[in-house]
Formats: sequence, C-alpha cells, structure tokens
Amino acid sequence: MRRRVLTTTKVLAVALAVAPACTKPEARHDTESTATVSAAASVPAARPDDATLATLRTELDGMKREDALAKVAHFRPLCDEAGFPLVGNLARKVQNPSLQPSEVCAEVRLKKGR
Amino acid sequence: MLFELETVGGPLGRRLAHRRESVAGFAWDELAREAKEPAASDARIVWTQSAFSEYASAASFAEIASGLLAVGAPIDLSATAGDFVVDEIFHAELSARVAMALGGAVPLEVDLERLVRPPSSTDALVRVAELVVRTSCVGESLTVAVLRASRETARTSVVADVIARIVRDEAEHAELGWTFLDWADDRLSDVDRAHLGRIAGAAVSSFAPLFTRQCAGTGTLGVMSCDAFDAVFAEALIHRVETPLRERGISLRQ
Repeated sequence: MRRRVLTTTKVLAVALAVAPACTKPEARHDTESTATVSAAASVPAARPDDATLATLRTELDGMKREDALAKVAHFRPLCDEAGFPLVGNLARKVQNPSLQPSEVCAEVRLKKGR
Repeated sequence: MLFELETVGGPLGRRLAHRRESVAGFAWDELAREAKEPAASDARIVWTQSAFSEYASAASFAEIASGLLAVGAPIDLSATAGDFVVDEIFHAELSARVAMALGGAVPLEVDLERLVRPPSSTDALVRVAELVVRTSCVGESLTVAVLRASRETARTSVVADVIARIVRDEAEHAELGWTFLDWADDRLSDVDRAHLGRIAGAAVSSFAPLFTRQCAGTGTLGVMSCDAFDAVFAEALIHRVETPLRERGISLRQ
C-alpha cells in the first residue's frame, strides 16, 4: 500500500480558560463569507491543524453572536465531518456575547439536518 | 500530557461503525441546550474523568487478553477480553461526546504509559488473575452499581441514555471476572487466593477515591450527589464484590 498522509479528528478537546470578556481579541479577520445553508453544512476538505483551529476560535471569540451566525460557513472547520466540535469551548468567568464553538457546530448540524 | 482523544476515521471508522452506530443517534444538541451552570461545569469534570477511566479500562482489558492467551485460557474467554477493549474505547468516545456537548474537556494531566498497575506475582496465571480481579471483579462490578445510581440523577434523556448504553456493557465486563475465576478454580492454590484477596482489598482502596470524584453538590447530568454516593458504594461492595469473591474462596482483605 502506498504511503498516505493521515488526518485525525479530535473527539475530546480541552476547553480553554481565557481572560475576562473585556480583553481585546488577539486576532480578528474581516474577510466576509456568505453563510449559505449548503456551505455551512459542507464538510471541510481537510482537517485544519491545531494552530489554525485556535486562530479560528479566537476570531469567533471576538465576534458578536449575530455576526458569527452570519458566517457559519467560515467557522465550519471548527467542526468535524458530522458537525461536532474539534475544539473545546472557551471557559469564561463572565458572560461573553460571542458564540462558542459548540454553538457554531450545533448550527452546522441544524443546517445539515434541514 | 493533557488527556484528549482523536480518531483517524476512513477504513478504520467503517470497520468499527457497527460498534459505535449509536453515537450519532444521541441528541447531543439537546444536551448542549439543557445544560446549565453550575451543573454543567461539575459534569464536564466528571465526564472528562469518565472518558479517561474508560480509556484506562481499555488498556486493562488489552493486558488481560494478552495474559489469558499466555496461560492457554479458553479462546472465547481471551477473545471476549479483547473485544472488551473496543467496548471501553466506545465508552471513552461516548463520555468524550458528553464532555464536548457540555463545552469541552477539563484539563486532565495523564501518564498513558502507566495506565495499568503491573501485577506483582511471578506466576503467569496469578498475574492475569490479579488483573482480572482488580479490573472486572472490583472495578467493573462497582462501576455498574455507581452508574446505575448515576442514571437516576441524569435529568436529561441524553445523559441517561449514554449511561444506560455504558452500563449494558459494564455488566458483562464484570461477569468476565467471575467466569475467569470459575475456570481457574482448580488451578489456584489457597496461597494464590489469599494473595488475590489482598489484591482485591487494595483495588477497593484505590478505586474508592476515584469513584468518590463522581459525586458533587449539584447531583445532576449523571453526577451523583455525595450524600447518595456512600450508600450505593457500600451496598455494591458487599453484594457485587465481597460476596461473590467469598463464594470463590477469596476473602477481601482491606
């Protein structure tokens, strides 16, 4: 058999504790993407590496809920093929207006089921 | 290292699909919606530890299968022990899914090279007997009782269903211990039985604090209240561990 490059899927990931919600997000991408039902439910071509996932989660964390919901397709790589999160949520001491990865993935599964 | 789990999928996923077909069938979204703080935080700790316990049990059954093959045990006994490795991995995945639905695992520092306590005897049969007594007769027997009681506190159908699915297998895992001891009955000396009694006692002492971590003040989402825990544990120890061991000539020595 020929040599292959294997990609793995996280089924258990540690939820990270972060600074209070008033902390300025480290990274924020303003690239607009259209969140269509089909795009949100589609499977990423390949599993992104951990650094990419962490960056994407940080980006999600710095975004308002309604803005994030409009870009579910952009955040689709945070979820596995079946629509379950590849990264843990960010545990906070105070309520934050942003979406958690588990909520994005729930949205992905919801759209997938429609 | 921090405890996390990952899968390769593809052909391996397809091979195991019939064993884990129910994973997608659980209403994980419902659990995520219904989980409220502080119960969710307590539950994330318990379900992360549960995933690790199941993972460690998989390692124990792998050692038991290897030990049974080394002593020429009946082949269906050896094969069943090997099959339980898959069960335990599946339970680890189910526990992981619950933890992820509740927001993700808590950081759990683990040493994967020391999952199974090495047996102390130099005799191959007694070595595997030590592993079986510790894992099946004590660990799995107590797990069945604690999980059944935990199911009563679930308050969400998803957690109750996950626990029910795990309990279904764990009862068989405990039964393997008694089957092994019955098969090995005429091969074990009185000295061996006394030794196994000490092993069982040490196992109870070492497992008790682990099980105690399954309780918390909130008593929901599969986490027992600490008040309820003690009675369940004591009853299970007498009826599920001590009595069947005594029937096989092994006195639990604490």
